[in-house]
Amino acid sequence: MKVRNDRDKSLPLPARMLHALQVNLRGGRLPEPESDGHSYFKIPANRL
Amino acid sequence: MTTQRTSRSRDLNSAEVTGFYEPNTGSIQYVVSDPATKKAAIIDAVWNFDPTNASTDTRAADEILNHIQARGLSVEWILDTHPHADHFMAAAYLKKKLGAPQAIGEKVREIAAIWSGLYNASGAFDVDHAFDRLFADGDRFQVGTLPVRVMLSPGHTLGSITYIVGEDAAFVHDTLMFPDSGTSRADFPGGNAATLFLSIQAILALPESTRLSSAMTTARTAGSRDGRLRSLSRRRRTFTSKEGYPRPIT
Repeated sequence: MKVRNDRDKSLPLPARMLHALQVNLRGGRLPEPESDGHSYFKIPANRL
Repeated sequence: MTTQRTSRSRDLNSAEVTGFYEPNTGSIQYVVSDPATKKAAIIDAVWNFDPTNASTDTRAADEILNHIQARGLSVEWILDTHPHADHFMAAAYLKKKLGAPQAIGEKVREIAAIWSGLYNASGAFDVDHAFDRLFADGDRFQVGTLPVRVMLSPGHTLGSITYIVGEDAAFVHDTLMFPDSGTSRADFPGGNAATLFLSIQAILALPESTRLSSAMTTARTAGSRDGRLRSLSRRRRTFTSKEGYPRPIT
């Protein structure tokens, strides 16, 4: 477990993570389209 | 293009398993089918996403659809083991194409609560409507004549589930990687290394003939626990040298 935790501290986050969770928690759907008909991702700054 | 490999059914209560390695995300998608009825389930299918221009395409999922059609399979379930951090799930796309229900583990509700906080997006993730079924630990369903059992195996995420199909195929997602590349990471929100350790012990306690299909490859297991690990390790080298799978990075 120590090896796992130490290793995790050295790993960058997956490049797609902040995009992926907001799609996957919608079952594999983009965010609801906005007034122009397009979907936009929401990316939190300095949260992770 | 994905790299495909099939593990044949061994007898009446044994599924055929085809893995599709998706090179951009390093993940393996699976089609598991009942040879007796040609009924099938799709597990952890990928919706391609290019983060540089935030664009999606359905190459990987379309290859699965082609495989389904070529083999004359009828899809009963579109399954995910957890809300992935490294790729988009293709479940909604496949549901539109195939009409089959999409499902995941019920603890996705707790994962959604964590992430709606991180995104400051209260109510954005209505998982009870996004999925047709949320499985609890111990739930059972069928793929054709094959029984499927759901085993909660948290650690990588708090709600990851393993699907055990028939008597000898377990889809263990991001828990147990191969021995020489270790386990999945456990540091995402809701992840926990101690919980992951216990989940891996439960997977290793499955019958010794169980084929473990992980997020990185699929392997036949044999022998004692130590022997099983050696077997997995040997198998993986076979994959990397002969089947063209790149070395997984975990």
